Amino acid sequence: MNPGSSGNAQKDKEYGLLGFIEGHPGNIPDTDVERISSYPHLVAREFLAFGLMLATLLVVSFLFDAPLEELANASKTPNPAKAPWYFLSLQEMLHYAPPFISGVFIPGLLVMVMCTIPYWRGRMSLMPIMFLLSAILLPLLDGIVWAGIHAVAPGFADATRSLGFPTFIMLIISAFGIGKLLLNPYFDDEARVEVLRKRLFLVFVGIVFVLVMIGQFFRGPEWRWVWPWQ
Amino acid sequence: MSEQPEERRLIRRLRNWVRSTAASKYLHSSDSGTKHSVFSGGFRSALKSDIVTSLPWRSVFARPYPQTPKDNSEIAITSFWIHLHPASIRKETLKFSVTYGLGGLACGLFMVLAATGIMEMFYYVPATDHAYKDMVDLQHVVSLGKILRNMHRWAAHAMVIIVALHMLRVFLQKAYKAPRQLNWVIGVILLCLTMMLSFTGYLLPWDQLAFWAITVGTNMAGSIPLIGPKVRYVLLGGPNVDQATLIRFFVLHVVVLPMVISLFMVFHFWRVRKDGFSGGK
Repeated sequence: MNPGSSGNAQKDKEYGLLGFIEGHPGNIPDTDVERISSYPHLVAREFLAFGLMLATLLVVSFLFDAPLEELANASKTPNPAKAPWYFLSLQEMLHYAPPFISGVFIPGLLVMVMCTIPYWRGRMSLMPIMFLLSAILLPLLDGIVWAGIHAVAPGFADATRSLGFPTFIMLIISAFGIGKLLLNPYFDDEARVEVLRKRLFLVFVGIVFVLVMIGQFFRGPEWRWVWPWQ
Repeated sequence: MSEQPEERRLIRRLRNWVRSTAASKYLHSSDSGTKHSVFSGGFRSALKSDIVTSLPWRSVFARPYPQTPKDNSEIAITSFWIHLHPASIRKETLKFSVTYGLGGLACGLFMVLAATGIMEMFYYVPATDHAYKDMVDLQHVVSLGKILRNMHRWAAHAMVIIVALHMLRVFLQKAYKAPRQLNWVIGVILLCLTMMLSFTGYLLPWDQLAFWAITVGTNMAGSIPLIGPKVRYVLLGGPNVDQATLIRFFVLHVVVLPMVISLFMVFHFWRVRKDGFSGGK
């Protein structure tokens, strides 16, 4: 990016300081990268990709029929009643934590934290990813921790059950834990932060994927565990 | 004063030649010298030059068909469709493994969904005593109706998957970093809108699958402390999934959400164009 170091800035030209700021409109572009006009090179590839996608879609549509069950009937509840597959990770969490936590609080938090990802810098960029991870893992522990609270203060535990307090408490504790972890000098190195951030995000995506798969293929009546061949 | 036939032929040739030289400038014909000489005009080339030099034609195609690298860059400025792309991109970003074409495919799937969705609307009535029957008719009575519905359904599922993969790709390549932070946020909004579009469309066939998936989904909204039941009531237009819910979800699915997602998509593409292709950098 640095025109001085790349040695490609023109010698007989003067450059302002703004030219060195990445993303600034006055930034001096690298002159050593080979550029190519998007028409027809990119446009042709887009058309090709679109054509291939359309062809694949047509073949799939001829081979597999979209499901259509019997007419909707409010008095006949199917067991289990499943949400669309992309919401099955939430429905799976619904099995462990109260609906407010798994259906509203956690998804809202996931979206908001997801939006902040680009705005963290250095070691702090691990923060949102760790938060995503704990937000999807902690509701799975909610029931166990709630049982613990119930053993100590049954009245309080019962009265606040629908709010899913254990998840809140665990999120706060894990936030402190994450903060402590981030102070570790191990993360002084940006490259280590980078590697860990990628891995943690992949773990997060993996957990969501596994939850969706469990909800789709391994859950039967009363949301009991069922093997696909049963 | 009457002209001799010989003179008349000469005048005609001369006129064709004048037209075709004007056209050849416009057409960028490499062999215009031989093609449009005074003695080889011919009816077809004269007609062609008449058309391509006419005002209506030139008002649609402001520039001739691009031939040189310079034309290829200029078309990004003069053509409405092509101008959605930057005039030039870094050559390395053309490699398939840089983007896997995921963003473009999501856009393509949206176009397929819009087209098939509009065709489905010709047959579908959003009424509880009609919707399911229309679906059955679409499957068994309407020519190619089954394929139409299959395409819409599978493209919808594919779009959710592709948009999610697109986000994963952008994250792993750190393409959300400066100056592209805002576009990441718009992308997250687009992912949410995609899921909302899919969710609202889920109810429309009015079969058991649709009815109970929406019941389960909206029950979650009902669990918000204090305002939950009210939120659920607004979503459903009543205490239960009924006619009011169907028309709400229909309007959201075919008017409101497509409009909103189109606006965000246009903004998303415009930012890509302004920030340049990251190409994993």
